[in-house]
Amino acid sequence: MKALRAASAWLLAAAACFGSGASAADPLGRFPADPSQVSVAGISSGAFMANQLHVARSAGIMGAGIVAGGLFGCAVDKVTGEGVSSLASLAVGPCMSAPTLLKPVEYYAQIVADLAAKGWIDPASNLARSRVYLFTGQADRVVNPKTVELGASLYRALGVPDSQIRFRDRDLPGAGAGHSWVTKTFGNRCDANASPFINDCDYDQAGEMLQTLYGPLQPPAGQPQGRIVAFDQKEFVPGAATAANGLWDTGYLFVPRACEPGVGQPCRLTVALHGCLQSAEVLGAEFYTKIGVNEWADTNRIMVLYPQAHATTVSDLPSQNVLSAFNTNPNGCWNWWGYAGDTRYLTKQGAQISAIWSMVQRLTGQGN
Amino acid sequence: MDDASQLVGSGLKYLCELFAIELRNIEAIGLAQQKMLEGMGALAQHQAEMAEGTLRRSFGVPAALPGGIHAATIAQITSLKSAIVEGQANSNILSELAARSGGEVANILQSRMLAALDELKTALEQVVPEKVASAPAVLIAQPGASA
Repeated sequence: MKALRAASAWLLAAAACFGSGASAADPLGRFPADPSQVSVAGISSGAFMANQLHVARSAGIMGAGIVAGGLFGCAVDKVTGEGVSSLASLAVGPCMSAPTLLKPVEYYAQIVADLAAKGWIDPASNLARSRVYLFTGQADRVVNPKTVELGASLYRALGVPDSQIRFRDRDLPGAGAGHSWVTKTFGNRCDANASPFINDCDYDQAGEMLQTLYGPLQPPAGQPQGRIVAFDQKEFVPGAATAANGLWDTGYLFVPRACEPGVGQPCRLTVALHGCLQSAEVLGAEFYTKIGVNEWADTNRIMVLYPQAHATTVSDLPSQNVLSAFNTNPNGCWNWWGYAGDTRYLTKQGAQISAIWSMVQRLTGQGN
Repeated sequence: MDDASQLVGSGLKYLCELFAIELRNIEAIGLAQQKMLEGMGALAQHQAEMAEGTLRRSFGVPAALPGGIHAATIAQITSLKSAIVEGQANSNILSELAARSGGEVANILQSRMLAALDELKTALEQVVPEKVASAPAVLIAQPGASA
């Protein structure tokens, strides 16, 4: 009996030490980020969200890196007075696997114009000064390369000059990539379409992306000297309802030594969004430490914010009804088809966009 | 006499409550029908768009391709694969629209049914006070029983 009690005590102590970091994370601190140097990047659902965030907050975001995803509004069925009505079947069909069913680029430009006219997103004219990197692998079997091509066309239609868009698909070592964030030395075989969706294609995607967004940079660090900070995401969601809105309780921030408070001038900030099945809940630290971004960030005064999504089930939703099944997010994707009943998901009022933007504002000193 | 008029009064009140509940039920059924019609309209519109898109794409396929039978066969296979994927995607879209529309109708009717039951319970509680309802059966006046 005594031995049993001792074992229980050990188990409790172990649970306290190694249990979910979610509840133990501290509030996001204040770091010196330059509000004019905020960019956003993502892969797959993270690319769709990066694109939405960029378009919705174009006044405050100077560039976007879109990997294997991103065509604004491609899951939208119609824009209504209250928000947008979107379909999961449009997301998995035309947006991902059947791009011949997508509408002409003018249709999506019109959605942008409609949302801007309602004041739900920033005026699209801001996008003209943006820099954009897009990538699609020719072996991608999850998001058809044509969707990403159309995404690039939409940026052009919205006024981004060709000289500020770098579209990568065929003319580099990673051309035959599967659905993945591509790296120089880490991950699956280059043409794989499988977890962790990080592929070794002998191509430094992080480097080319960041240099497209910020211009020429110092060479990356072999081993980053900065630190990873875990922070509580709950305070950025009304009612702390993270799970109901597809967000995990904990997010991560990479802080280079040069960006510690009081060290020097303000740093740049990039928001890096994982794809479906890539959150820390699923992959642990893999996405926020192995995609090659921190190495470049470390030597170039760039902080990297890694918000985390969460797989939302029916039981996470505040109320259950006949339509609940349409509001779930079983693979922990970012919201780009209106799950969780969020009819403003691609606008400034969207729960996830609003949460991520509040994190950015905390770091740039513009929020509380 | 007073008891009788009170009984008639509360009976009338109960009838009015029932009438109001029934009106709200009819209102909900009307709303459900409207949603159903909207859903059917959206479904028809999507079907028409899909048919138009399929026609447009099929007219876009060149009858003969340069490169001979090899290129033509590959093009046909690619076109067939694409048609299958498109068909599946279209079918999924129509299914989701139908399911969402059906779900909305079911939600309206279910919410109304639950509300109507609550309203009926409240109306009954007002007409038959708790004390009377919980009194033993022998203490409740039974007009026919005393004869």
